[in-house]
Amino acid sequence: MMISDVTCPVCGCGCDDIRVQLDDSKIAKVYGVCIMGQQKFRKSQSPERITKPLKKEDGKFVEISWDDAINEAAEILSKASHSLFYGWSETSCEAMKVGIDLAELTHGFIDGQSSHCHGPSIIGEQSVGIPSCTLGMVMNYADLVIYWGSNPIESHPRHMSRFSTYPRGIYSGEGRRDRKIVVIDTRKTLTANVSNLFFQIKPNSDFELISALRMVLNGKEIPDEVAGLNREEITKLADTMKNCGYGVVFVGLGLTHSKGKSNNVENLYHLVRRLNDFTRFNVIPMRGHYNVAGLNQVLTWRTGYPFAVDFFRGYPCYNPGETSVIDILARGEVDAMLSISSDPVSHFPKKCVEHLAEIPIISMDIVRTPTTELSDLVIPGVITGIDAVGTYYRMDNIPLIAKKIIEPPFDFTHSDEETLKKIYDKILEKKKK
Amino acid sequence: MMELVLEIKKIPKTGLEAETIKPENFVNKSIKEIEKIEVCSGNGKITLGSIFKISGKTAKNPSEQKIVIVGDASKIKRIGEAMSGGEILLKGDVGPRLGEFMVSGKIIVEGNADNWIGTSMNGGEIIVKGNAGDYMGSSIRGTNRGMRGGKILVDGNAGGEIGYGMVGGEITINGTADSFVGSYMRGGKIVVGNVLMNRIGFSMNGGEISIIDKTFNVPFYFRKIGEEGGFMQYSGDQSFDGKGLLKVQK
Amino acid sequence: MIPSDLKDLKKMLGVKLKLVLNTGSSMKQGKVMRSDKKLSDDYQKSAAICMLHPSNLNKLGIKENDNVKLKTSEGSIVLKAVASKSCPEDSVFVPKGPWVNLVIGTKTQQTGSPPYKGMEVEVEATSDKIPSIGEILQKYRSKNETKG
Repeated sequence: MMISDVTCPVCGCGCDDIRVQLDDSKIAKVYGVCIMGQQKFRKSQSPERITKPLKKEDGKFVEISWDDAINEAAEILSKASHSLFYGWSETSCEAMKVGIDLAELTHGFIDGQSSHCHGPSIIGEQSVGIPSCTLGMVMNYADLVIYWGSNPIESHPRHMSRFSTYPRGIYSGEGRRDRKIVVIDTRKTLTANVSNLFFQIKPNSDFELISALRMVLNGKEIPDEVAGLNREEITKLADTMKNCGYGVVFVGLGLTHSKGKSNNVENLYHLVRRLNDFTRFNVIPMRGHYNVAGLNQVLTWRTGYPFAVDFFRGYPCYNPGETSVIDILARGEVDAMLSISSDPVSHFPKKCVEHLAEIPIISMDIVRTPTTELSDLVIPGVITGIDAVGTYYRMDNIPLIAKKIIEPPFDFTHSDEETLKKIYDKILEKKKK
Repeated sequence: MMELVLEIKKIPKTGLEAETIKPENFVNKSIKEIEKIEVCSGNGKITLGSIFKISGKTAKNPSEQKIVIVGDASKIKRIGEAMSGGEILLKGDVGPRLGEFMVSGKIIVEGNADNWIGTSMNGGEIIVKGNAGDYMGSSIRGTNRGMRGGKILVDGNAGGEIGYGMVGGEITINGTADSFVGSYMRGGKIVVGNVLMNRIGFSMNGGEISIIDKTFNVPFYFRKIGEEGGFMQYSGDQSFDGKGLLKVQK
Repeated sequence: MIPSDLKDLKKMLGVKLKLVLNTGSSMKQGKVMRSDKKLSDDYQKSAAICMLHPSNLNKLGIKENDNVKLKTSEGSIVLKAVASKSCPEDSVFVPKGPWVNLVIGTKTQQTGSPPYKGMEVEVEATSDKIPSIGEILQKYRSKNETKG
């Protein structure tokens, strides 16, 4: 049986045009998905899939019952004085709502991958504002697409073919020919190889380049060389931006991770606002996971803040640097963690992982990872978009429904939302005693 | 001044928030009453008496009350928040968010301070003998209007984002700041020994930054406008016609 | 003993290059990250590599697939050297993952984002081995004996 319009639960592209062939209620073949999507669909059927809860005893994992696992999770979280609920970017918005309830109940922190990826972009948004549009508008209108500190061919493989470069849209009937692709990066990436214009800049100098562009737009003189580019190149870039019909900058981690961080992004948002005096110009941060934007949305409706929320005082507090996951782990302020659809042991700096190794960790995941290996309790995750339905927010903040196409390989739970609700109820029960 | 001494016995591993530690909360109280004052920690509240050994005298008015904290307070946040009058002396290091929203009085840190000192300060004085962290004398997240008055002095070095959104008051750093001094500055005065990465005055439109180190490399978005009293003068942030003043010693 | 080869001489002299560290996604690392193979050799093959401009391999006196040691203020890590003309001469590119994170700091400048890009790194040739994912996890575990 062929199912169409399936959503891919991997990167911020949130592709919703995938076709899956099912044989006997199992995934046989997946069409239209990129190499990373292939891996995830394959992972859902993998013999390595975690199908039973595991508890660490004497350094080894033993299988335990579902009820015991829920009880154990509730025990760890209710005893902690400052727990952390981290991850969320590859599960549903419905699960996130329960996660926020859990953080509020236990006076803990809730944070997601956005904190250490596009946290700076969100801070920039709060400071300056972000002129933006949807990916559909990019596909139909954009004649100038700039990838700044972003290499979509390796991070979001279908981004260019689905939205920004190759598709034929309403005002881009000629597809690739109707568009100019510009790449600004410190190295000549695969994306730079297929661009019309490539500007190779010195590392840690994006801030200066953006200030120079703003000065050129204001008719001010700039030095002979800024950020490794000469005055002609910078003027050419400013003119290209000024004279397009509908421009968009896709901002990558090149700006948020290098020196300057949120200042780089704030400066860019000032530049894009100024460009709107000449033409229509937009910014879209290249969100890495398919529902990382979802946590920002759900947290904002519920608490007023987009990430790094701390319920220590019984009400939500937000102060990146003080309440964000990397900082709280580096300072050793957490004494228990629930990690859901994330692998912090692989992705966090050493000092953070050293602290993780000291505290009890509950991991909700699909297969064994470095994080499950350091965990005390592993609970089988349900994959939103493959074995459970759920809402997610694409990189342009458009909400979509992730389809369910097969059943999870166990029957004790049907979604991450359900699992978390059970843990919540158990903690409540323990608190009442 | 009446001196009350708080000697640290034990601080919870996950830290605590102690905005109740300020002179106006201690005046006219007995030591037993002060021991019962609560601070926020972990899943609930704990008393000052369980954290500190408290001795000394209390005054009748905040302006006559001095609090001395002995020990390593680097895990204690929010000391002296919205303080109006009196003095707090920290004999060791202190945690983040010291003296935020301060109205008047004096805070002295003999060790090192952390991030977020004197956020949205209105008046009073904060003196740090050691080093300090990021976002000193700045606005809270979500607003670009910060410190309005008061003085911050750091003898050692500071981190980044100094005086973010400054509207008034004075910040002096005798050592170095990392980067991003005076972003969104609208008024007030910042004097700093040197800035390690020459990104300063981002979106600055008022106020004054002075840099003592003659070797400081002025960023290109500041335009030279003259010289005065041994300092070269520049105007910026030229990315948008900002009217801030940058002075660099000749 | 005087080495006959210029490459060996450079290796013997222990040339150290001061470069800028860039970490991020790569197609191969991204594929493993999304798969069920994060505890296998595949992860090491895709993430425990250091991409350098060919001229830098020359300066270090090494050839592709030799090991290099990267050192920052946080510590050091041994990785496999890979030549890449796309990498500028003043920096190195290492795919994100548990290997490079052993040398990444935690200063987020109050933004929540650590310095995954832009740290100063010292690179030199080495005959030390690249740690496996199992060895890295064991080291984290042994720092805390009470956890298994």
